[in-house]
Amino acid sequence: MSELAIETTGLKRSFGAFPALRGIDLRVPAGSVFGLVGPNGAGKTTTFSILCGFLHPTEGAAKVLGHDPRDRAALSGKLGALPQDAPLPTRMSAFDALCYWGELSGLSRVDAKNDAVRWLDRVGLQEHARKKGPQLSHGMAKRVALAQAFLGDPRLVLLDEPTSGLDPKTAHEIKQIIKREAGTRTVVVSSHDLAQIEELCDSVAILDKGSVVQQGTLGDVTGRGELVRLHLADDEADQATAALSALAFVTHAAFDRAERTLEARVQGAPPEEAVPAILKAALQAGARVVGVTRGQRLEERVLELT
Amino acid sequence: MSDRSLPLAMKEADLSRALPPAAREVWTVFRHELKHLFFSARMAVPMIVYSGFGALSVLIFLKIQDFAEKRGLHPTKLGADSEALGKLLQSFKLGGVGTAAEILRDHVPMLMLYFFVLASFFLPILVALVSFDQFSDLSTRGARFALLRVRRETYFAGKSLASLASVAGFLFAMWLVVTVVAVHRASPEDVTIALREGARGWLLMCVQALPYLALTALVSSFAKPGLAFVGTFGLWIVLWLADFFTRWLPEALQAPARAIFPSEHIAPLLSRWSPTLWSGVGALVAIAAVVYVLTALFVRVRDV
Repeated sequence: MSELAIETTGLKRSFGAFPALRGIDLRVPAGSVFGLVGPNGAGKTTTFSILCGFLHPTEGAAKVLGHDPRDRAALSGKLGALPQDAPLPTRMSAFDALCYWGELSGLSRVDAKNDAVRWLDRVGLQEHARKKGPQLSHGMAKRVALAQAFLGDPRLVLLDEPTSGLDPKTAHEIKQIIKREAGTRTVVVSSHDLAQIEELCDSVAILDKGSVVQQGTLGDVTGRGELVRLHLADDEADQATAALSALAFVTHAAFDRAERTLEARVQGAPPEEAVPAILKAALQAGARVVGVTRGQRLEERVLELT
Repeated sequence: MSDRSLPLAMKEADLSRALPPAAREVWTVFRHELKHLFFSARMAVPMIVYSGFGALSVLIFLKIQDFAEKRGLHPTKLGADSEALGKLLQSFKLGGVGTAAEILRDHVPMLMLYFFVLASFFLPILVALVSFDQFSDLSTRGARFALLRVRRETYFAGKSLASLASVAGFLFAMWLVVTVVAVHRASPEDVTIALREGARGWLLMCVQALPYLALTALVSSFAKPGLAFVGTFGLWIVLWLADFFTRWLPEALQAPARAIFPSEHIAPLLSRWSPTLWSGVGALVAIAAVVYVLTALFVRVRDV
């Protein structure tokens, strides 16, 4: 079994009578880029807050890099996070704040300054380094908050809604930064932007009403190995549907007239064999294929499960 | 990044690296908080108001002294009657004839005595203005960036020390001015006394500030800045009223009930170097310690 960066068992948390988490069992492999998705109120931010040690669970246990999330002495410098809606200090400039947090992460003063300079450069805020929290726009504040999450090169970074409320250009830039930084560490991203999660993450957990309804690799969750979709130019595909049904490894074939999509459920054949065979059968049956996709889109899967 | 916009990360001594991790965390929080608290516009307002008011009242006192001197009453003679001074102190609940006799025996400059009483009276307001939102960032989530990296206990200790240092620094500046004025007006043989009384006044006012700082820490750990501001001043009023109403308690209960009010322990501070003084200091430190411990425990368990 691969090493786990995060493991939670039966994690519960209530706010008064409201159960925000009803028993979360989460397993985040070390080195992965893990997506946490679900509708509003699913428990994503509460889970994040517990993993960061900001909230205490009502029941259950969590291990972050093998430690209790509240064990700051063990996790200092190893865990970075972008908390949602946490305001930047009003009395410190962006640069001073980054230096401060860098030092708190265990860096020497010199290293903290160098890291602050490096990260302000990476998030494109060199010219605004002397601005204080209230003087920064929402997008700039988000960039500063993102920069602090990576200070000191932590092994695990938790990003709660890193692009929420940002214009498309800024959101794209932040996505690029996350892409660059992923791969060298474990990154957990919570977002409502499912296309972004699909683009960034290799594993995902879908939360709903305080529970994990599905988790695994993106391929497993969206059924990439089990579902092949042919996008057709026609609104009739009876022959092609029959041809696909006749294939030994296809358990079910159906045509969605409205979407002009021919779906084939696959079992017992690897994608590199199944996809060409399905495509060949459809073409031979006269179907005019304009596109091929594997599995559901994450959005469809989330809508199906929540 | 241009060299002009940011300081270069030059090689510099970082002695804090030699400290144990917890002490290093406290030092880092303390240093950054103090830097950005003490030199902020936020501090300037209470400082200007408090020091302006202090300077004005000192000037008025000096004018009265000069006036009395011109009328043939030497300033030291104003307090030469320990009975009269004792009654005056008694009317402010700050001791009696015994304390007055000690003060006169030690040639304490009247200006310094006057300033100590006046500044003590307004000290809770200064503390409230400077530190009412010490831990409000726990409620606004602003503390999350730091608490992700350090233990709550060290964060609490660092910020508490920064607030104490801010108030102490400000009081030091004020006492320095008062001491310089007192030295200027003192006879050569009384210069040492003025210097000693300046240091003593500053230290004792720092001790006086402790319980109020602890109480602002407690209130602010529950509330966002606006509510903490109202809550702190509300608490001062409640303390003042509660202290006032203890006079209607049965005689036997009055002393123990009053012991919990910081203002009750200012009078012993006027006493000279005696057990009375140390009992006052001990009581103020004990109140502060109890409130700080309660606050630290709350900060440790609360959600942020």
